[in-house]
Amino acid sequence: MLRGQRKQTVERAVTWSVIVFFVGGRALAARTEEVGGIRPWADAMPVPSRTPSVNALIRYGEEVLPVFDLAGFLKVRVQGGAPLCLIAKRRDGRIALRIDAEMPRLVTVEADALTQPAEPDSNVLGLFLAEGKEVPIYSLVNLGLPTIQTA
Amino acid sequence: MSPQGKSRTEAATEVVERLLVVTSGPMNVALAAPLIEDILPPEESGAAMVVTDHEVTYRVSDLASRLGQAPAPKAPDSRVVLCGSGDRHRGFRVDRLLGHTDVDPRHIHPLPPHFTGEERAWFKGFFLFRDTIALLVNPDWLLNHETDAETPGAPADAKRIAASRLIHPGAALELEVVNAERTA
Repeated sequence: MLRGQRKQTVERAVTWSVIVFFVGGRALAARTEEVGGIRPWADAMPVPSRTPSVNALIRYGEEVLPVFDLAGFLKVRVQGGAPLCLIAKRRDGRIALRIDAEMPRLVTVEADALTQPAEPDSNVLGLFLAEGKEVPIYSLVNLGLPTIQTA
Repeated sequence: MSPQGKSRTEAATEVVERLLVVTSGPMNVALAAPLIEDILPPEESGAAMVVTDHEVTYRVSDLASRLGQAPAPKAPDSRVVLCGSGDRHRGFRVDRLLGHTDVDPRHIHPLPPHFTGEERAWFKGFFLFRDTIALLVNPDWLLNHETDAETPGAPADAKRIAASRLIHPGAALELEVVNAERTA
């Protein structure tokens, strides 16, 4: 029994459940536990800001979320007539990302199959291959935030 | 007792913040009503850079520029709002007046912590306004401007506003109440 339990735990640890979404036609991924939901994009109101990439507020009913300009961060433009909102669970709170209209999908990836980007990027946890293309898994928890230095 | 369990006296003395909400480009911006000394009528809200009203000189700029945004082409309903506090006075050109509103201060929220830059000093926060959001400008920041120290007296060509035209800023605007309890 104990041996069986241990085996299950090990198996869970070697796969990652990720959501693949699109920004400017590029496939990106994020760990499902770092995604707070996906909704149709609502009109966001710009907020004059000196904080890099954080420059708007978006309202869903009584909830107001800050907006992280992921497309601008990646230097691309969101595609599709009805963009979507992906809510990222950043470490300082929920934040909205405007993504392409193409519907995101849930994918399971083998942790062993992950590779590191050629140029180190603190926002990217790893890359996996999907349909012959490398898809970066973004760390939404730390998206755009300075790296925490550990002693 | 009110439905919320408060006596009439308690409810009547509840504090609300009276604000004037305007648009500046794509933004809804709220200005504290006590800050507003006058609102120029449309025919006087043109390209004047300096106006004098009741012997007070106001240097006028686009609110969008003050907020670091590119000024939009002149809107058809553009107005100049004259603001003042103590000896500091400035005029701001806005695209449109949306009206006065009373907001319960408890419903004015600080910017989310994700905003970490100077903007935290520019805005006291935001509140839900109609089906959107309005940003409440920090009046101290709004009236503090490096050029104020250099502001000369009214130049000879300063636009002079007739005293007889002065109205209470709220007189011509509809008042609405946002998330504030009111009693009869």
